[in-house]
Amino acid sequence: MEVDAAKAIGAGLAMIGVIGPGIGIGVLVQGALNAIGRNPDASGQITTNMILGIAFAEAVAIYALVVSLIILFVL
Amino acid sequence: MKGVLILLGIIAVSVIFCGIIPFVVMPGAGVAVALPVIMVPGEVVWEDFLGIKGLTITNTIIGTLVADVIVLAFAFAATRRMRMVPGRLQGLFEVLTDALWSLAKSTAGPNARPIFPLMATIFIFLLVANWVKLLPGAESIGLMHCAAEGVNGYDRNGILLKVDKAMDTGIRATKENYYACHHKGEHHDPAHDAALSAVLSAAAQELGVESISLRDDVGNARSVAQYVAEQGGDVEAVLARALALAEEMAVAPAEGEAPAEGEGEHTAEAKSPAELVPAVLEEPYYRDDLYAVTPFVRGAATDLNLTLGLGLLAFLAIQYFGVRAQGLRYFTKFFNTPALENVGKNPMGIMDFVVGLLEIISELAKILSFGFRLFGNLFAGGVLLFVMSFLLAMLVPAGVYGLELFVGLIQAFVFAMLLLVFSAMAMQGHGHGEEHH
Amino acid sequence: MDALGINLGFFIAQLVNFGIIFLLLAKLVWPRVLKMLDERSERIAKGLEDARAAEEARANAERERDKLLAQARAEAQKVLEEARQRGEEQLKQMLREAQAEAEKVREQARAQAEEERNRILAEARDDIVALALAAAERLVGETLDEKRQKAILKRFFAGVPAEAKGLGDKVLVVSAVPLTDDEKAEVLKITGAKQIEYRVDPSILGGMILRAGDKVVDGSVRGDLSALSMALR
Repeated sequence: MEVDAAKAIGAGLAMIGVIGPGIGIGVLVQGALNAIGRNPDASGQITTNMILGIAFAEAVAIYALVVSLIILFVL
Repeated sequence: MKGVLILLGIIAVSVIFCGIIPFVVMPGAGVAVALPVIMVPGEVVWEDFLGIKGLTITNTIIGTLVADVIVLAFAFAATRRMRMVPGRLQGLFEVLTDALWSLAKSTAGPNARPIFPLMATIFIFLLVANWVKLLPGAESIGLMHCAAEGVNGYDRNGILLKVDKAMDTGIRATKENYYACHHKGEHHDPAHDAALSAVLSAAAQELGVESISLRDDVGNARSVAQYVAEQGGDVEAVLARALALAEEMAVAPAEGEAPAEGEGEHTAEAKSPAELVPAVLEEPYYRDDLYAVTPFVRGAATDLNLTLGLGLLAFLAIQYFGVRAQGLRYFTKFFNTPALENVGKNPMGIMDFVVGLLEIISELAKILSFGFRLFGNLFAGGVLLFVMSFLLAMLVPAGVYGLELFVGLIQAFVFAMLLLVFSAMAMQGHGHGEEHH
Repeated sequence: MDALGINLGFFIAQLVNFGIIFLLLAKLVWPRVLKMLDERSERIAKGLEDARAAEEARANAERERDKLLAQARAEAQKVLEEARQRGEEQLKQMLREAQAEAEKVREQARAQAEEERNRILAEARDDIVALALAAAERLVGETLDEKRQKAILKRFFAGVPAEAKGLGDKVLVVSAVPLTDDEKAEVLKITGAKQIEYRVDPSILGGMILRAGDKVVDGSVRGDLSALSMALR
């Protein structure tokens, strides 16, 4: 049981890593929206690049998630 | 007015089907919804499939095959008879292809043609694979298997799991539970059975109850001695009484056991029930009726084999496109020898060389990045669906389903898009980058 | 690795599976769809081009039509103008002709009328002359008394014409009244004839007529009247 508790705590702690990507995605979307606001014609390309950027930032969050999942279900 | 009525109707239906039935009616009948099993590896549906030794079929493999069938059926049905004025299916497929093709052209320019087939295949395959897990029945209907270690198991009620109350979380199975379940009845030892029944009778007499059930009274992973001690009984007295009972029983069925002694070789070392009693009293018992459902179909991308495989494929494809477009010059991206040649004039060349070596790591990291991004999103999506369905049975899971549709699309798109961008960059070469310095 | 479910067998199975899908789609599906898309966009481009050409052709045709129309209109105007001019000319011509005709008709009519009048006048003159002569005869007959007869004879003798001398030997003298001897002597003296026959004829009203063979010297009133009548006619 102590091990389970430790796992839960560990998994929770691992998810702290999601903070960074969260902020990053926020900044990214802010930048993209500003850019679209300035240049609405380029919105298609900006959106594509924004999604790419989000995917990169999200990858980090996913790493944290994977670590958390591994702690919970694998270890 | 009509809209309000329809909304009320939807809410009423969802209350009945998502609230009353699973939380009231079904627990009353002993077949409520069991907590789903969350496992990272693909769950084994059939071992030694079709009698072939070692051919194991997991539900992620089945999910992949379902996605294969849908993709191929869709692609070939849509393009079987190409017409200048397209039908619906062909039109849909062409819209999809056209969108991908114009994306490839706008990103990779003249290099789009060789990249396109791989990118489009990955996109359409992943899209279908990601959406397959949202089909009704996927990740929910399956075979009952012995609950593996760490999985919450339930007793069974016919072909359904036996759950008597809503929000029953079951019992977490241990390795021994799994073993007991898996090898149930395999090592049937009459002497052991006799010793166990003697111990249980003795304990019941000691505690002054009619009978004691291993499953309901002793509990999982506990011994009879533990139970007796907890209930305030005397373990020594139980042992003595059980021994006496075992001696009595051993006399009576001796003749009956005679043929059995001749057929098994292990009977030679078989012990009598009385000899087994002390061990039986102290050994913990594991429930052999802990079952969990292994769904037939699970999202293909919730299997790391697929996602890492595709990641590796994408990595190899990127290298292939790079070499194809630039020849061996492509590898100067990693081993920046040209920068090293001018070191005398430009000491920063060493830095460039080291950066090039670091590129190798970041290039290899792409495999993991590709694989885990896809896996993490899709696996987390599945977990989210489970969790949401059990937290709020009504309405909210529908919204999560919508979100999952979107995530499935986005992840397929991102995978294809990243492959496209990396390939385009590899084909374009780093010459452009250096001109900036 | 096992805990993550990563297994070489499954890994390879998934790779092979995807490889098959990829090969099938890459060989059989994507090229066909792309070809179809290219063909369609080509056809659409061609269609648009055709439409543009057709549009141009239509515009050209319209312009042409407008031009032709304008030309035709101008021509029609010209023709109309010409026709009008010709018509006017014709009208004028016709008018002229008609006028001329009318003039001619009028002229003819006038001539006819003139002729008629002349004829009528002539006829009337004859009648008038006849009437006037009749009246004059009657008047002369009534007014010619003895004295006047003598005066007329005297005037005749006074202004006897020269041819009276050459009348010959035998002369017939006709007078309205019987001549006196004096007068006979006078006639003898004038004519110089040897044989003179005297005849009285009151129808000559007055004076006398000398006749010898086919020669005649008329000094009678009737002769004067006849001369008058001739002059009147």
